[in-house]
Amino acid sequence: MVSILAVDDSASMRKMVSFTLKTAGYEVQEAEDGVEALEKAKAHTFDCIVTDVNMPNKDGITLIRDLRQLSQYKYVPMLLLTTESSVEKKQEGRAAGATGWMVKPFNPDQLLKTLLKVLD
Amino acid sequence: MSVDMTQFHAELFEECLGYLDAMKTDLESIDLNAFDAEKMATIKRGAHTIKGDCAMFEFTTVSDYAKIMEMLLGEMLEHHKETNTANINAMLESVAYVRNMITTLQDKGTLDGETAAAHSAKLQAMIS
Repeated sequence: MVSILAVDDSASMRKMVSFTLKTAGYEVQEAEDGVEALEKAKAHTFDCIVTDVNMPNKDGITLIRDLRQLSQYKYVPMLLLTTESSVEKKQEGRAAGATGWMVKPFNPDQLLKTLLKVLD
Repeated sequence: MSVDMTQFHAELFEECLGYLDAMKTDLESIDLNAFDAEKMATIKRGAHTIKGDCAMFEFTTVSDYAKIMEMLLGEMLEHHKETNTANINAMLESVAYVRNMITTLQDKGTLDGETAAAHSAKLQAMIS
């Protein structure tokens, strides 16, 4: 089963993303910031990371940058979910190693379609 | 795939109220003589999260208003707008208004569009 790590400091968002992914048949673990996500990602290698950008302790872009330093995450798809739509932020995400970028608000179907694309 | 988004509403509202409490506490503890960028960034992140989360759950009246709050807090953070008593009080009033909107939604009430538009216009006028 494809395993995904869903990272967001907002519990309602995290639960919504997690529920959507589990309903679609994915195995999901949750983390509430980049620090917790990095710990979980070291303990278990996920097939995909879905993370918010703006979080306390460690933001999503730094998380992706840190994960890309780990050999097991060199080619794992990583999606950023954010309200930021600026070109600069997107470039920052790309430079850090993000595979894709989804601007909030999005609906569950859009999330699943994007995931299918990056997991293909 | 159809996901019943209403199952997350109770959690969303509680979360927003928590952010608003934290924003209020931080705003009230700002020392006007010693600008604390970290504290201001935390307050701004509160508005940012409310904006994003409420937009996700299609509470656009709240998210549109929180967006203006975030812009104003951003101006204070970047020193384009002075962090003075008047601006802090305006932010505290905004926090109270968002709290009012959230509790209305929590009680299954409907937000009054005209009141929201008036509040938004007042806040928008403060943007540099």
